[in-house]
Amino acid sequence: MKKAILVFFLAMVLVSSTGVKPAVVRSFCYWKTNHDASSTDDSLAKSIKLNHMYVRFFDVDWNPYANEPLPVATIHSVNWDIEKIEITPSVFITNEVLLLANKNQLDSLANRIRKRVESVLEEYKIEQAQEKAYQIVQKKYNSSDRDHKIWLNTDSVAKIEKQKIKLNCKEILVDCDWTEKSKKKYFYFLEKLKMNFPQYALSATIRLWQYKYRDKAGIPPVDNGLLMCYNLSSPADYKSTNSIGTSKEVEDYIVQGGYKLPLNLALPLYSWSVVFRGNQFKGILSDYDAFEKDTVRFKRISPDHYLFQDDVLIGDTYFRNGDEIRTEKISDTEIKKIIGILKSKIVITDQTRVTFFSFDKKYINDYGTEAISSYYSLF
Amino acid sequence: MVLKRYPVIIPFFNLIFFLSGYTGAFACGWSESPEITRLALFRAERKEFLKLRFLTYSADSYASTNTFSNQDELKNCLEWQKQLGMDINPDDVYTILYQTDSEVFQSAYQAKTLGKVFAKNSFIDKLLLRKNKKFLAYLIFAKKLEYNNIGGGKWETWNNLNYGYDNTTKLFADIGDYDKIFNSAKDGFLKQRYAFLLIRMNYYDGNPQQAVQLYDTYFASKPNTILTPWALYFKALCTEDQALQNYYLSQVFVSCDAKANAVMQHYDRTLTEKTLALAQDDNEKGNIIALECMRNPSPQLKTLKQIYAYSPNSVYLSFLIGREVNKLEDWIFTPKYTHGSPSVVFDDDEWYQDYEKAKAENLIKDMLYLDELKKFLIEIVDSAKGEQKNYLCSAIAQLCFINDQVDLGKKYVDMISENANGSIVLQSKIQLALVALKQKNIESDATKELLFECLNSLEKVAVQDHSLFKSIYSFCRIAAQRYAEKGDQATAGLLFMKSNTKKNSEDFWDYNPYFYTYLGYFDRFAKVKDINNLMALIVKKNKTAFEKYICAGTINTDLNAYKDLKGTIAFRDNNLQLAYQTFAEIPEDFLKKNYEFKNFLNEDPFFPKILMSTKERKFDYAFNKAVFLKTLLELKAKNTAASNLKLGHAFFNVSCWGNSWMMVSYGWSGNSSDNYSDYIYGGNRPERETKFQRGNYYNCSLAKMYYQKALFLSKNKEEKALASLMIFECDYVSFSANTTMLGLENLRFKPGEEIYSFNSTYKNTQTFKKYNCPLLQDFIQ
Repeated sequence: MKKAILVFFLAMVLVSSTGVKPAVVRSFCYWKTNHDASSTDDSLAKSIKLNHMYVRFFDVDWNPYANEPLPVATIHSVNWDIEKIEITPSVFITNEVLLLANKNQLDSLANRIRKRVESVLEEYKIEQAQEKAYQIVQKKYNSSDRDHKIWLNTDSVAKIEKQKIKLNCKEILVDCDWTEKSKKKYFYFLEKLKMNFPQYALSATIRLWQYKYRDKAGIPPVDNGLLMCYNLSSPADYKSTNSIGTSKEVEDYIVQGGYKLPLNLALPLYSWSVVFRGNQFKGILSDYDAFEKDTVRFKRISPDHYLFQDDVLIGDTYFRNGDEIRTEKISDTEIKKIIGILKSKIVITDQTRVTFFSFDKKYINDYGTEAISSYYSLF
Repeated sequence: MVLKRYPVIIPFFNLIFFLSGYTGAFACGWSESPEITRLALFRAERKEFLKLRFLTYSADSYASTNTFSNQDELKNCLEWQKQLGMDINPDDVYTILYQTDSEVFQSAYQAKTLGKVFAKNSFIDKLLLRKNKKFLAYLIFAKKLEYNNIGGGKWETWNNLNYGYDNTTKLFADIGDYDKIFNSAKDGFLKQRYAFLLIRMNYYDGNPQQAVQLYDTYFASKPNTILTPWALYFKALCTEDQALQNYYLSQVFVSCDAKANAVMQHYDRTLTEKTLALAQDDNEKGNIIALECMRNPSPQLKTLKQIYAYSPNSVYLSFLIGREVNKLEDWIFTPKYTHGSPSVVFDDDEWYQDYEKAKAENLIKDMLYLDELKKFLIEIVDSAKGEQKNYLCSAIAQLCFINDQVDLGKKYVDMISENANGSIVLQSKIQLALVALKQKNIESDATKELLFECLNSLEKVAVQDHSLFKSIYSFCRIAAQRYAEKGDQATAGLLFMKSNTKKNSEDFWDYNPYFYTYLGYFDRFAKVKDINNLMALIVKKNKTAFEKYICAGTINTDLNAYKDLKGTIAFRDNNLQLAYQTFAEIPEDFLKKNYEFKNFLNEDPFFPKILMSTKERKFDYAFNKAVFLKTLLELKAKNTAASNLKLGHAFFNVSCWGNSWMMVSYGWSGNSSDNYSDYIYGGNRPERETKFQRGNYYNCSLAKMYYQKALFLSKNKEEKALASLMIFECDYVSFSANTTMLGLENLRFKPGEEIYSFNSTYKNTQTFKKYNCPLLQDFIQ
């Protein structure tokens, strides 16, 4: 027995000394209001070996006329195959809700959120079951036989299929930029929410300022936190190098470890373009990338700066010759630096989720699935 | 047989390059709306025109505009300032009243954070004073009504998953006992405001009598507030007598901006006589007639004269004069500078039957109308005063330019005061630029600078007012034609493209220029010298402001595209040497990387496509234009039977019947008219293509010549057989190019003697055995 223990111990030492590191849980955030299953999305998820998604289910905002918090922008459809991919339902709550709601309303809010999350999940199960039933029936249906009986009889199949669906859902995430002033109410609300979701772990987003100034912001009473490492400065600032974030800024905020919660990590994986006339902010172009290909109307003046060489109306804004575009995207090098900083200060285990904001084929193709996979591997 | 030999190639890339640059799909295919195509250069305005923008002459029911008058709102802010203290900034009032979401305001009020959320807002600071509590209470109330009327779209309910806006479950703000609130209001300023809200509420709740009663109590004495016309609008809608309603609406129309559009939706233009009977004075009569005329697309000089008689200085008279000028621009300029008819057409039959005839007749008619209108304006201009006078001078000048009375036009431009408003001054700039286009040396730097100044001034204003893109589009189109007339197709083409980029401002987002977008105009109108000039301009280092402007967004930075066009033009002109030299300057991989070359220049050009079966075609030939031209030059130099036969094959293949037609044309449209490309770039494509290579493109004239030479020079029966057969083929394709029907028309085809030789003298050759076709007998008989 002693020998066995010794062998095990030696093996552990060997493993740790040869640098075998834990593989993190590969995750993405899905923050849109609709998700229609598509083979492209599935194939992207597959190619980056995704095994977890934070999916925004709905927001909660304060309605001053109803004098209570109400849901906003509920997701229409969740078509991820969550038998394969674990999903964390996520709810964004405005700080105003915390400031204005009374204790009873917070109690009620926790209860209402539970019911709504369950409703969305139930809707999801129905949708998935119908899809599966359709696939099953379609296989048997021969259009040339015009066998409408087979074609129409999907409800009973869907009912059976629904019972088979096992939700891969273990946790609820609450996203809120709470302040020192709202801290007390927020933490109270989280406790109530925890009571409403006894079978789930509870998670809360932690912004970098909340991480750094933990004495003021407090540490939320949840099972784990999701540290959001982006959106650190205003895009309207002409002097900003990259308002999405820089490794320098992340380094400034993560000066110490020892946060009293297990932390998962959220990194930015999106891009946009900010336009300036002179040094005046003119707007954000989020889905416009013609300047990358159109060398006639746009001149590249540095790796992330372009100049309009023509007058172009985009949406309702008329951009003029000479206007400057700053493309903002965290470069590959910067992401790697940020990963290095995070690794040095935060405990990473094989349970740590590393998630990217947000799942969009444009952004994923932009970075490339291989690069994204390599980011996970760096942890 | 014929179908097998002359397969139809779908001209898909024609569609690609047109659709890529221009959008707009209608039921019967791609097109542009008449409003997009319409030309208009006259956009001088008087100060009050902003509220009338949506009534500017347009091919659509109403003109689309991105600028709206907020004069009423500003007046309301000034009334609040006057009431609460002159130390309030009216802009702060505007922010709260018109730019703050009801829910944001209410949330801040509930959280007692109004002062923080609207920090440094002088209006909020004032409202938060204890003595102004009643004013704040009014605003809270008004914002609640605003929320109930137009807010609340984003909220969902906890009860179900009805996603997004659901009116049935919309939460309404509790406004309490309105009558009590209204009755307890003592302050006159607030009482009127509560009364106005109550009038509106009564109208929407279907209580017209209460609304009228409230109006009569609080607004009938016409207190000096912007609320009066707003309230009158609701009273008008509560009035059953339609003529009386019209009368009230006419008063609303002239006394406020915010309700102008709403008035137009309700005003009954068929009741003018009855409405006029209610008018109290000439001014009101003039306004009523003007209202009736506001959307009339036909000549309205008679009405203008009536309005003038009642109200000579009327701003509405000026506006309607502007509409008449725009109508004439549409009727005269649009058909002159585009391939479209005027955007508003009255006699449909005429246009469909014989457009050119109708166009000529209507031009005469329109010019006569122009003279009449101009005469009237000249008659009244001397007695006009101030802004009206400047405006009339500007309108007269514009009419003079439309019918080329440049000197007279310039005289009226000179009469415009230096202190005229910005819009009239801008119009003068356009007009002086038009003078320059007509009278000055348009190639001089000074004239080009003047043109740039005009365009740049328009661009600066267009940043705010997108409707001015039409002026830029129109001016560039007119300027392009002037440069084309002077033989400077390089400048003309760039201006033409510039005009196209400004044509449909709403589609800029989708504007994706394609390889041919940059070449389309030059492909049609440029000569070799023009392409040389164009390339010189593109590479010029110190471009003038005008040159920079016309090159922005209109040029392909890869000069090889232009070299390719130059070589193509030289080849079309049968200048093989120049074509070779030009193509030789282009990198070898150019054809692989650009346009559709690799898909349409991929077969052996030295064997006639017509003799190959579909199965035999390989599409893997490494085509190189320079090498092809070099070979042609060498073959010509040899001048043997074999070389001439090969030249015949090559020229057959570069015709539209061959496998290498893209050596000559950027799109294959057969012999049918190509309306789309004509529409975009102008000209008549089949007409031009008929002349390519001395007719070879359609008629294989050069190919036939080389085959005849080969037949004459050859002593080899196989060569002779092949040459004979191909001469027949050239004759036949030439015949079919000029006929629109196959079948019966084939009976008129008279083949040459070569096919008889092929069928008799050469019947034992391998060529005959391989290419003879039983159906050839049809022609021989």
